[in-house]
Amino acid sequence: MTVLSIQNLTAGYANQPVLHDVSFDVEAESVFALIGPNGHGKTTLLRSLSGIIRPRAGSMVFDGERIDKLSVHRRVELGLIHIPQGDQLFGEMSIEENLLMGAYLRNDQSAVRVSLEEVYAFFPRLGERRSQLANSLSGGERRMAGIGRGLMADGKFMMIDEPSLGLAPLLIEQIYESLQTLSRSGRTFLIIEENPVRIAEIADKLALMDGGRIVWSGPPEELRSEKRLSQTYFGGH
Amino acid sequence: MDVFIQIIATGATLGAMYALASVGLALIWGTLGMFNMAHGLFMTIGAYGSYSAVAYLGLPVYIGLPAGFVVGGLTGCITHLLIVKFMVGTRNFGTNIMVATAGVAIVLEDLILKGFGAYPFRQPVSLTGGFRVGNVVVTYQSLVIVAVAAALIAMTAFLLLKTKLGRAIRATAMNLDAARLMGVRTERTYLQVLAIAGALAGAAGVLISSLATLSPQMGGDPMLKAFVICVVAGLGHVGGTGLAAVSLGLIEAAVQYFLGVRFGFPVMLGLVILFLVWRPNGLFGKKVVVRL
Amino acid sequence: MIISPALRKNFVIAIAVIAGFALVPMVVTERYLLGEVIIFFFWAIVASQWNLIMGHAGVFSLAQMFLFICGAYTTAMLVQFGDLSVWLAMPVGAVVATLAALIIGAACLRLTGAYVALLTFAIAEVVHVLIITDTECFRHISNNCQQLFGGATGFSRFADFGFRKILKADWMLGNYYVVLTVFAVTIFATLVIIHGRYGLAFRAIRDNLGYASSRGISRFRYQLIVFAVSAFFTGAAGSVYAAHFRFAGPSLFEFSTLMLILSMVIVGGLGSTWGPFIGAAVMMIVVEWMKEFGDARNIGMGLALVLFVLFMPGGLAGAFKSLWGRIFDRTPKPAAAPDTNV
Repeated sequence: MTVLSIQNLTAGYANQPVLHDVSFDVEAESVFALIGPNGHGKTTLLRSLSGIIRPRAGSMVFDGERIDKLSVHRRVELGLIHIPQGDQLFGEMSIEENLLMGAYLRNDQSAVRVSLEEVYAFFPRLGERRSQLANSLSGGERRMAGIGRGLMADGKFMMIDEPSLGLAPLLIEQIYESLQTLSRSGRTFLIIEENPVRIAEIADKLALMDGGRIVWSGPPEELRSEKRLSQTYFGGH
Repeated sequence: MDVFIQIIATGATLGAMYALASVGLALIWGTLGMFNMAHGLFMTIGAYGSYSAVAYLGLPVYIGLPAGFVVGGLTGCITHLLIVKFMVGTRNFGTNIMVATAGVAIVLEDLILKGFGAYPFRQPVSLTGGFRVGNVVVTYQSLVIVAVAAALIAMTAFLLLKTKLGRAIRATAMNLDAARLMGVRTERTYLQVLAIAGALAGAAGVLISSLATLSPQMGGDPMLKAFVICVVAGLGHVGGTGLAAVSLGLIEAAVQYFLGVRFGFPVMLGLVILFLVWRPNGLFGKKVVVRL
Repeated sequence: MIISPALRKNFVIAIAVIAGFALVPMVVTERYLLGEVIIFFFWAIVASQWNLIMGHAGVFSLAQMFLFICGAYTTAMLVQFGDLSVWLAMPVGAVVATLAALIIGAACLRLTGAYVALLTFAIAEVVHVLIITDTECFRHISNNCQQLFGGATGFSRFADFGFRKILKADWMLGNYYVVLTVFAVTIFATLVIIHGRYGLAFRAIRDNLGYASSRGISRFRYQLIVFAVSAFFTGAAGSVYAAHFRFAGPSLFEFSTLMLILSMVIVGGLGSTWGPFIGAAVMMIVVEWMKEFGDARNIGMGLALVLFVLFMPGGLAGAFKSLWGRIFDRTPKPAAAPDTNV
């Protein structure tokens, strides 16, 4: 079943389109990965999906509902959760407050408490440092807090922008193990990565972006034999 | 010893009023990056609101303070809905909003002048009498001022630190886009911030007018002091603002006592400028790093 | 000095404007109207200098009237207490204003944005309060107590340019051409700054502070220099104002006067070349017109500020430019905002 369907999306800043005519579908409870070098529109795509920027043309249907015109908070209410690049934590707040901000639109306080404990159980480091300011965390802890804050929204669709960005290999491994576990939790994931290697191991489907267009998409098994991959990254045409 | 008590009593009263006058200013700056030049008028309007409620509507005196609070809050809301809302996020917002709120200030001042006249009214919402500590008379009104200011600031601190609304305000101040991604309706947060700041300014106006009189220009002097206090604390730092207000109130009281009333504020400003040469981002402000 | 095409074009406009004003007394003989044009010269100078420092150099100073006052008070005090001729006192007034700007600038310009606005505003207000609360007599003049800085009433009725003796009934003409001369010099100096090396430096600083600093352009130094230059002309205007009206007093400190000048800058167009001059003329007419509605001068100014910032942030100059562009289809493409990546 398709949970998110994007048709002919064009978006950008001022007079410079960054995305050109992008279309793809995401299956429910799958992991969909968008790969490609930086500066080719992946982040712009997520920002259009969460409503931070307004696309110029095209349509976005989430769970059977057109979301193009909805405000950012309405999309969060529908369960479309965007975990931004570089974590974007609230630096002067404690970890716990950051996580509670993730649950901002939820009103059932006891359920929020349960989610909080779940996140702490999932990332024990966050539990140990729950009253520390987000500013004082290490890179890996920040990433966990960012993902944890996204989980707190209890949304069914998680969009994660570069979960491995700026982390040491060992930490990337940890984060990916967490993502692998989460991918079996009944949620749908749309993950952006620059490096296709690790994400290909957990993704059900991948799409390669180049120059604001999707130039290839398919299952991970086909990725290795795909010529366009090296063309996109190394510019050989 | 009496001198010491006198300075503490005067300084605490001044500090309490300044703190109440500055906290809203710092809150607006911290959340919207907007410097509200109409803040002094919010105070004036609060004072006239409470005066009108008691003198014209015949409401009991204890309604006076809440009336000023509400009128100030409403003024903040209207300012947001008519002006700020349309300017947030536009180019040169920082400069333009100062110009616009300065325009609002001069219009409001003129409207008050036309509505009430230039005659300085006495604020009916006040207490008389006092008690002695040693040879120093401490008025009941000073005690009320310190108590009311402390209570309102404590309430604001509680609201900001312990409630969901406060968390949303702080989140918006720290990272606008991230707050929106959490589902915060930042438009509404801005409105709430202006309402809270306006209400605090309105209450400050009532307290200030209870020591002096009501006049259309009464907000000018406390606003000037609030400016300086916010600058010392580092613009936008709400907690630091309270501390800076009380310290500067005490310094001003001491200078007034030893050098004369005229020199209280000038000496204070001189110290502030020297201080800023040493710490250009204020006591608590962070250095803005310009990325190359 | 290299004269760029933009500078040359503006010089031509300036010469035409000044020549036009030089001919005004041929047509306008009414003393009141001539007086109004003189007031226009004063406010246009202050507005153009404020625009120079705020719109071009990027310093949101609220001390512009204070610098004007420095010039006016220095002139008044030198003439009153020092029995100096106004012709000698006026240059001193301009220099004192420049020095004041250098001191204020050295203290404030290392800060940015709102901090500068708040401190400059506070400094001006503190001086204002100190002057009007001063009651100590410095000298007695015909049994009247005269404070060193004029106290709450200020200085008045001191010696002026002396045209009353030479030109008799036409003394106003003498005053007119003196003020016009200062106005003309100010225009040329302002054009050289905006369209010369300094303007270039400020554009570089605004577009990319990092790059500008790496090329040796110090924001602090450039801003301080332009702040001082603008203070010189503002102070000169203040000096001539004092000599023309034979008055310098604390009423010049009023917030509404500051707002009047600000509205001229904003209505004309912050950051433009000729906007403040247009704005000064427009606001003087608006204020005159609003007076007929039961003295709604301040309301008119306040509304002008709010409405222009809301609906026409580029002011009349900006609106004219985009209209011109639309008619002749030379609209410059808006620069693309950088991809901020959240």
